[in-house]
Amino acid sequence: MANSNNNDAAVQWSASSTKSLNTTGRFDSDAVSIHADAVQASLQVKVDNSGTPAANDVVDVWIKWSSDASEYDTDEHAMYLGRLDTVAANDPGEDPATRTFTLNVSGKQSFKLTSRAFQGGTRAITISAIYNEHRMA
Amino acid sequence: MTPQFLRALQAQINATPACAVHVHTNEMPKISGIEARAKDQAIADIINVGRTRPKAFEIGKGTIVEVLGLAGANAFLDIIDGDATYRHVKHLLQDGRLRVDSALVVQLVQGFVQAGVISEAGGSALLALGQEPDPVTAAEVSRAVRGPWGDEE
Repeated sequence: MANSNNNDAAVQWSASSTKSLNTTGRFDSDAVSIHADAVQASLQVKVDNSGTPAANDVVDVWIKWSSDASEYDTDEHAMYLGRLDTVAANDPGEDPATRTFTLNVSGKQSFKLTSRAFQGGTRAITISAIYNEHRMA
Repeated sequence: MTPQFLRALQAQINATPACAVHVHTNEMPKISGIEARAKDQAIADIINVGRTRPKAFEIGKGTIVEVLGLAGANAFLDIIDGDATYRHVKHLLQDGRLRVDSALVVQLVQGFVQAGVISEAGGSALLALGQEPDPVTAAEVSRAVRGPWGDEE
C-alpha cells in the first residue's frame, strides 16, 4: 500500500487560479474532482484585500459537496469552513491571510469552494486555494 | 455601526482639520494593515477628545449643594422652590429624580447660567453629571473613512 500526500492542485474559477470577490455575493469555484484513492485532504485558502482594509473586511468560505459529481450542495446548506479576516487590527486578522482546512473527502466525488467577501462591493478581495489529497492505494 | 453613525462620524472627521493628515481613503494607494490601524487610531484619538453622550442621571437637592456649593445652590434652589413655573421640577428635585441629562434640564441650567444665577463653571459641572465618554474605535473610524457605510445603492 502506497501513501502519497503531494497531490496538490490550484482550485480554479473559470479556469483561473484566482478570483476577485468584487460583490457581496457568493462565488463558486469550478468543480474539483476527488481522486478515488483519496482518504483525506487539505484546502489552503488565501485571501488578499485589494485595498486598505476596514473593519469587517472578511471572507467566509464553504464547501459544496457532491456525491455524484453532478449535484452539489445548495448555498445555504453548504458546509461552512470558516472565516478569514484581512483586518490587521484584529487577532486573527492579516492581509493577506492564509488558512488551511482539513476536508474529509472519503465517499464524495467532487466539490466546489464557495466564498463571500462581506464588503467586496467596496473593496474586492482576491481569493486563491490549493487542494491537496492524501491518497492510499 | 449604522449608516447614520458612520456618516455622522465621517462628517466629523472631514470637518476636523487635524484629522486630514491621517485620513486614508479607498482612492489612495493600499497601505499595510499596521499603517492603516495607526492612522485610524490617530483619528480616533483626535475625535475622542471631549466626545460625550447623554447619560441617564438623576439628581436631588444634595447633589445641587455638592456641585454648586452653598451660595450657588441657595440661589438655584430658591428660584426653583419659589417660582411656580418650576413647581414640578421642585418635586423632582426633592425626590432626587431630576434627570440632569434631559434636554429640558440642560436648557434650564444654561438659562440660569446666562441669567447669572449660577456660575458658568457650576453649570458645566452640573451638566457634566448627565454626560459620559462616547469614544469611537479605530475600527469604526476605518469604516467611516473607507466604507462601506451601509447606505450605498
